[in-house]
Amino acid sequence: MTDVLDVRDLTRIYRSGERDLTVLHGVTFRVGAGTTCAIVGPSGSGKTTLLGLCAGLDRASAGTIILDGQPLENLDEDERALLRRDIVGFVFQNFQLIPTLSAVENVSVPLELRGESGAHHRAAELLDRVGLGDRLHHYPVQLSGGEQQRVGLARAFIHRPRILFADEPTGNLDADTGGSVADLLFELNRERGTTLVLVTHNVELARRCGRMIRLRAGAVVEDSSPTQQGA
Amino acid sequence: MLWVLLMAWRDSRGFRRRLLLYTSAIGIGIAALTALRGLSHAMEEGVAQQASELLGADMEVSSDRTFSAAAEVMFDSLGGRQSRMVETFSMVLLPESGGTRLAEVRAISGGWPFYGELRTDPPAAAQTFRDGPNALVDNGILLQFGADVGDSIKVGRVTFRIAGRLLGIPGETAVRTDVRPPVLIPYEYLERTELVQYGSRVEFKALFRFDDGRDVESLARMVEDRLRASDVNIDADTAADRQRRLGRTVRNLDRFLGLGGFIALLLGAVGVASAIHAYIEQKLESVAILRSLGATGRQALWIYMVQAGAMGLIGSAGGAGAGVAVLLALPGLVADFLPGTIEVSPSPGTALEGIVIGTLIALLFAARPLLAVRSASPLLALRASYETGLRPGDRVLRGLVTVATAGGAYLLARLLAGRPDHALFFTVGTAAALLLLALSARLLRGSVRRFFPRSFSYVMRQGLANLYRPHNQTLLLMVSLGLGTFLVAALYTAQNSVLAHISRIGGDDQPNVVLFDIQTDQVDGVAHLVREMDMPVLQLVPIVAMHITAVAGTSADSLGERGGWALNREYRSTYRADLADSETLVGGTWHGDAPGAFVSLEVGVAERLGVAVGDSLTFDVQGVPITVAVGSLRRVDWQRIMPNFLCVFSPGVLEAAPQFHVLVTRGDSPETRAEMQRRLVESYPNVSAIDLDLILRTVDEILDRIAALVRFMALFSVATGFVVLVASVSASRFQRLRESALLRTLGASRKQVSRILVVEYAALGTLAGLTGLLLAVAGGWGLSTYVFEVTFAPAWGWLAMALVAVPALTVVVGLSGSRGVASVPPLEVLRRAG
Repeated sequence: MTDVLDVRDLTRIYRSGERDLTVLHGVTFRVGAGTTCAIVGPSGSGKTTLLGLCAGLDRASAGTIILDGQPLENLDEDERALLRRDIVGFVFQNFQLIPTLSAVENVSVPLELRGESGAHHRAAELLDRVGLGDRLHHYPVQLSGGEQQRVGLARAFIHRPRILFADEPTGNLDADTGGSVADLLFELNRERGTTLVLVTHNVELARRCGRMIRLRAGAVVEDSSPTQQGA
Repeated sequence: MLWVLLMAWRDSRGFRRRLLLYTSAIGIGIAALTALRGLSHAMEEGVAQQASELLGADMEVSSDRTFSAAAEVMFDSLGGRQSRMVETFSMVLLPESGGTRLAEVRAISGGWPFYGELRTDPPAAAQTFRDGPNALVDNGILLQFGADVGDSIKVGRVTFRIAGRLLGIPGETAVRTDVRPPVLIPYEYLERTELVQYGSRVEFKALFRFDDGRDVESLARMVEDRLRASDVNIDADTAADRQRRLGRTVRNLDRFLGLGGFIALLLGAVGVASAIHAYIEQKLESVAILRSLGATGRQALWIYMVQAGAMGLIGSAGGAGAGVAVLLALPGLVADFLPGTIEVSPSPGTALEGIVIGTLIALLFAARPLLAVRSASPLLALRASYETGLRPGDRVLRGLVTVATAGGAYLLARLLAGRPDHALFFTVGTAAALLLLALSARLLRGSVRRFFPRSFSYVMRQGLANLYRPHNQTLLLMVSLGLGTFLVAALYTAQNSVLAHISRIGGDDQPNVVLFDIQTDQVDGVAHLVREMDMPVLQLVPIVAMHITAVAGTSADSLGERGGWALNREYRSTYRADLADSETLVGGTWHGDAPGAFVSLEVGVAERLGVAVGDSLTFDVQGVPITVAVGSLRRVDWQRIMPNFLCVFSPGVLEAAPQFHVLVTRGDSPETRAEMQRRLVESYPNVSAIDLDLILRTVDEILDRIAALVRFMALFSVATGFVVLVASVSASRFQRLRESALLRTLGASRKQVSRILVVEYAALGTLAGLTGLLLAVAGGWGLSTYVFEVTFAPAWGWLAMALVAVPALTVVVGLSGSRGVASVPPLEVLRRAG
């Protein structure tokens, strides 16, 4: 099994006022194609920073990230954007839908960025698949939190990414809605054979992944499958 | 690119009304530009089309003395249609009202004007006044004294019937008739008026119309060359000469108007830049989402560049349309400064030019704030970034954009000002004013923060704190409102200083009436008349007219360019042993009563002639050569109401020469002065008077006309300032809604929320107004001291009123733009905020 994500000795230091703040320190792990991986840890442990770095949203202070065979440090900002466009999907805790775009337009964006035809039709189909066939032309402000996150899921999967990064995908939802969104996430992931890297506080959600990496104070303190952890 | 266009359109949803509001900032600037450029073209075309009317003839030959026999013979040989005119200054009396006024009397024979027409009321009077003892009288004089057609007017010794109101003369401006109100009489009555006497300022004119298509330009030069020997000061003018001179006036007016357009457009551009800055701040999260989904920085930048370009295009198109409408109303504003009428017709070229300029300026000024889009980190989609700021490459880009923006402003100024040095002055001057205002804003913002009045009430503290909180509008409003206030107030202050200066000239015991053209045999009678009115004879000065014929032994003809105006002019000199109050000796020794023939020269004349103390000068005094030595040099305060002279001779040189006299007096009340002048005109009609009231009235009228133009231009700046204010309030409205909702959720009443807004806008308006007014006081001082050279006298009352008006307007606009902030239910706002 080939690795989609290869993180080696990753360090991220932020400058905060007069001090350096080390958010991640020597993080190393690999994620195989088609697998699911949860990154867990307490608040401030560096989970979201790690996710942002892996997706090329930020630059590491030291270490290497190889995404789908491409070392990110060799790519400039726009090259990383193109890589994201081609192989990465994203689900955000606060949904991050573009407020001025309707549901179907939000979902179409990744395909439109790739210049693919039939974006609107495919987006409508996928929205129908996530149960929002009758909400295509609604704007984010007109949708509930659960509905917004479904749109977010459709947008994340529309271009069949090689890897999907999800940042607390149920963090802003109640238990029932969060549960159904999580079900949908794993269903779509299975259907499309996408590699999933999930950041969460939610132990239940993390347990649904094949592997769990635990961070504390910016370092990996545990890397195991949930069953091993549970054992 | 198609996707970028699509996204630009989609992304503008919900912001389009606000974007349209921002566009009106640039729109007002373009409206000013289109209107003023259109007017400028119309003026140029008008001058070209009305060229022949500028003179009312094909050629005008003029001289300050009666034409020689040789000239008369030549004129006879020229053929064509001819007319004669004699122009002189004289007091005129309107017997019905007893009013007197210094006027330019023109005695006319023949059919002048040959082109264009005298505009009179009734229209037929333009011809009928020539058939008897009739006069056409400047409308201003008739209005001043409540006189009407059919009344009489006494010009010199002759009483004329007023045949009509004179409303316009071909080729002459309203400003000219303010200074020299004309009275037209038939030529055959001139002699009977006895106005033309020794020393009178008279101009003799022969006017020609040729219908045989001859080369008038060459003819004019030939006339000058042939008559130079017999008629020393002869001057032949053609319509083309007049057109060239008027062309310069038009260009000056054009540049003056251009400054107004430039400032309004630049202010609009600053407004667009500020609006884009506020807009992009709200859009950064959307940008980050797009970037995280794989959009490149360039794609994201293009989305907002397209929006800014569309904003510029729509605003400019609307502005150009409005400009065309304004253009139709404009000619009235400049009509006083130009002869004839100006026909304006909307030009598609000018409108298109405005649209292109507006779009480019909007893009150029939007570019710098838009760079934030390129630098926006996709990480913002996940969380507020720990590190913000520009990418290293973007620092260079930002520098380049700043240079390009300054370059664009310069090119715009170059287009409007026409000259590179003026363009540079405009650009640097405006940039300096903007920088000063921005600096003041920062200083004030910092001061409020540093010396925050913690003991103030909650509402006051909240309102004041809004001045420096994130997303504050302090800088933006300080710059836009401050600049508008500065422009209007600086010009008003300078105008006030000029008027105050003139009023002061006649203050206390200073002379305030000058009587001139008094013949030697009239001196005693005039002095007696003045004393009878209890007015003192402060000075009685003899005046002798002369020309320079040789400088330091070299004849004037062989001096070439040296001397220039100082060599060619007629000198009206006096002789006395004492130095006058208005004179300061700066070189040599004052001649006093010392024996010998000396002249004391005004220092400027000496410099122009290139002579020093001890050099000799030869004057032609009525055909008699008189050689004197330069004994001293004087500096003269020309602003005093008293006869001042370039040349003052020592006693014993000019006594025997033909001369006339000037009498200087002082009358405390306007009524006394008016009565004295009325008696003077009755007894000595050739004697003229200049009264301080007349000067004040004339200057005031001219300044009023200029002020109307300036106010019109400033109006654009002020209007732009308020659009920027509305746009800025609107840009931050949602944030205010959210803050107010939170405050109200925490227990603040609607009244408190409204009061916080009032405090904030009142503080902003006060600070902007105060800064603008302080700069205006400095600018007005500069204009008064260095341009008008008068003592600085600001209108404190007016400035105080402005200091109240600016904050009041700011509060009104601010509150109307923030409507709903205190009334929308908090829950609705908080739900929207997510």
